[in-house]
Amino acid sequence: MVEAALEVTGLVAGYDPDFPILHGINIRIKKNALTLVIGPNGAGKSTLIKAIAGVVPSFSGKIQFQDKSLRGIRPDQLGEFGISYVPQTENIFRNLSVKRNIELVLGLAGHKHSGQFNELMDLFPALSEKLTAKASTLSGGQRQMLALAMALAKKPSILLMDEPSAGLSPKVAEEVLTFTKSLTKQQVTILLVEQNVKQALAVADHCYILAEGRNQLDDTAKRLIGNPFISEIFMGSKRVTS
Amino acid sequence: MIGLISYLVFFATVSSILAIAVLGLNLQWGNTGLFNGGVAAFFGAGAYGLILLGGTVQADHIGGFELFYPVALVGGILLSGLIALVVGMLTIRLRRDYLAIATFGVAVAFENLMRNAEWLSGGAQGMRGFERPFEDSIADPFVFNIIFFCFSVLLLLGVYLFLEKLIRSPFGRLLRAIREDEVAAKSLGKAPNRVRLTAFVVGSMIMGLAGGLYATFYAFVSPQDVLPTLTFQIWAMLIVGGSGNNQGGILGAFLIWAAWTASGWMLSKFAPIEAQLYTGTLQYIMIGMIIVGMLLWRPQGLLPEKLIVSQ
Amino acid sequence: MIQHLLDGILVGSILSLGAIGLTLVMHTLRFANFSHAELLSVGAYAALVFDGLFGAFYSQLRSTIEPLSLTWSLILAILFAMIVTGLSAILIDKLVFRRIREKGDELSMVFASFGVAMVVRNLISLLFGLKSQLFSNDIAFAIVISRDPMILVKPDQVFVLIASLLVMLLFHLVLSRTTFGYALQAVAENPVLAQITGVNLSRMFRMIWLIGGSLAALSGIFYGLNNQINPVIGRDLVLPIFAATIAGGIGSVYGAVLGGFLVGIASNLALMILPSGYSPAVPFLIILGVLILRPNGILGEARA
Repeated sequence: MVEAALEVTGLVAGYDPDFPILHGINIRIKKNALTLVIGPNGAGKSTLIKAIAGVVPSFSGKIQFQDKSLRGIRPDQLGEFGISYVPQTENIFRNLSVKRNIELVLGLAGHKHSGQFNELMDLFPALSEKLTAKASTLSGGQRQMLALAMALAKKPSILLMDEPSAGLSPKVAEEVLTFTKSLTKQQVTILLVEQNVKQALAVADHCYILAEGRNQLDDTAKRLIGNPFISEIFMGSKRVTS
Repeated sequence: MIGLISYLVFFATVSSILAIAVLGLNLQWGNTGLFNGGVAAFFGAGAYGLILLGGTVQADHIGGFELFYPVALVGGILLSGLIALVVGMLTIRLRRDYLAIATFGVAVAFENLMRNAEWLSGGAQGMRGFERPFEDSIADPFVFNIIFFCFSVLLLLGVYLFLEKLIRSPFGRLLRAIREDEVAAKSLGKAPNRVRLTAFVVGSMIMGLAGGLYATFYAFVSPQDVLPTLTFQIWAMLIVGGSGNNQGGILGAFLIWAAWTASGWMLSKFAPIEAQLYTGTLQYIMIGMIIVGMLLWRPQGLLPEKLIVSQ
Repeated sequence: MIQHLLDGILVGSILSLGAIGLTLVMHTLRFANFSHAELLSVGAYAALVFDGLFGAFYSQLRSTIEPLSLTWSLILAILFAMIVTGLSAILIDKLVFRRIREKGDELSMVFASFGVAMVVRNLISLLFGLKSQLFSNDIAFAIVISRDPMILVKPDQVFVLIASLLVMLLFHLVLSRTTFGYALQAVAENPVLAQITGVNLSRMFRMIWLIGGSLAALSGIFYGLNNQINPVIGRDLVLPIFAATIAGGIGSVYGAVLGGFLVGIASNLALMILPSGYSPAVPFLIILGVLILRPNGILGEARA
């Protein structure tokens, strides 16, 4: 069995303890692989990722990272565990320039030397042309790139991504997803939540399906692509993406 | 005995008048979530408006139109409403605390204008020369005060019943909907800002009524009556009583006014003479502590808001 | 005219210092803090106390710095007063605002700030008395810059203006050059994302109170140096500082500086057409004007 980088067991979480959104979720995120979470609207996909990141409170269950528990940490402590989280929207500081967005993360993470800045610029050449521009002037794809660059600036071992392809054209979405996948080769473990099932399954290693805050099914991405039930619900005529 | 009753009547009259202002504030804050930081200005507009329109001719400032009492009272109320309309139109669509700052500014500017514009308001000396209705025909001031007390309580009751009916009406439901969730209210097809503005103006007019009664009672008004302290007192009354609950507001008005007058009396009676200069200071600390303390430990007030199920 | 303009610039620099802290708090903690101006009084009185203490223990500190009326002990006292006021702001937040913030109602914080303002102002009256006091009883002579038109400037005023501008420049460098400065702007724009990015929010809020409080202290001390120190400094300056904040645009530090000068100059120029009794109402007129012409302020942006 492949080593799990992050393991969630019986997680109950949401905004109100009386009305949790997640009712006992179990997920194993394998090391240096891309784990995908899909499900219809309201399944609790985003809540799951936010609960792991500490943005949404969790009420019971476990979030285990190596031998440490992540439950109850504040979002600003994620970096200490080597975890980066990219929210779906509002994931960059619009009033700061591109350069300052990145410098902020580098400075907070304590490695503020130009070496790493240049490494990031090599990864995202499109950004290096816009360094002094206000982040609010970037295109949708460039914003996602900046958000990714900010997440990678912390040199994370785990990357949590909430629908990075939302609002992007299929071509740009594919670029973003392919890039995400390529990170697994550089010792980054990825948890990806997506509505864009078809494109995401193409890059995923393992996939969990949630509905109404509970696990429904999980399997390797390869087998799920071949599963007629899945392709009918998520990729066929009865597509439920919004 | 007569002395005590006479004092109680006096106390209850002032409390009832202040309670009317508290009810106006409750419509704004308790029911609609609008922050009015300048209650004193709307109260003051009612008071100054009344004396300006209903008073006798004075040498040093304009006014003295000697209008029929109810007309003068309504004139003061309309003046409060007009100021509220202007401020509300400018601020109600903005960040919610802009209204707080703008109304606070109105109160500062209003007091400043009344203090300086001698031609208009008599300046720091205030406005005199108001003849209270029926004062000539009722010779005994004690009887007059009792009648005036009944008049104030009747108006308080009238305002109370009007507001109770209002908050149970579809309009009241809309107010609460807007307070709780603007997006949902918008989806009902209502323009929240208009509804808010209406509530703000009506609430301010009720404060104007209270101010008019206050000026009638004393037959006098001066800048000292419209200091920011008044705003704090009215606020403390609502918070202690329970914002959102009209009965609570009335209860709060009597309690806080009792605490205010009692503390003033105790300090003047028992405090050393050199400390008496600081009576106001100590009272302000008390009001400030009450406001902060209630917000920290019992934000719902003594009588919490009741959930109203509209038919 | 020129005299009024000069006085306006001076008052403007004092208001700017006060408005910077207010705009930061209003933007990041999302409430109009009516008790902010009381921090000016806290600062002025703290400086008075420290000045007395230092002067009493080290008499050589009591010598004035020519041509100013300032003494070395007051300079030292200013630094201590800034720290004490910043810490008081943190303490008030801990005791009152943070607890109400955790319950989640922003407007209740506005209300609480009224209560806090009343308590702080009147506690100062109780402790120090209602009478006005001065940092120095020496009469500082004004320098005649020109006789026709008559223009007078006191050396202290020049000092206050230069010191304010230097402090603002320093703050600008922090904002535009340091990680802390970026983090401050990040928290102002989007606190949730800032936290995800790695900013410790509660530490940041403490820093905002510390900065806001110490700048307020400086503002109060400078005001006291040019006028006099009394417990109602806060009451008298709360509206001008709000006007500066709104005119500049809430959340914009540079807007607050601009707004401070705008309000200071406008209030002083207004004295040319209005009797001086009306000057407390001028900031209100500025607020009205801004709300009509440019509701989000000169440098502010709309926010839901």
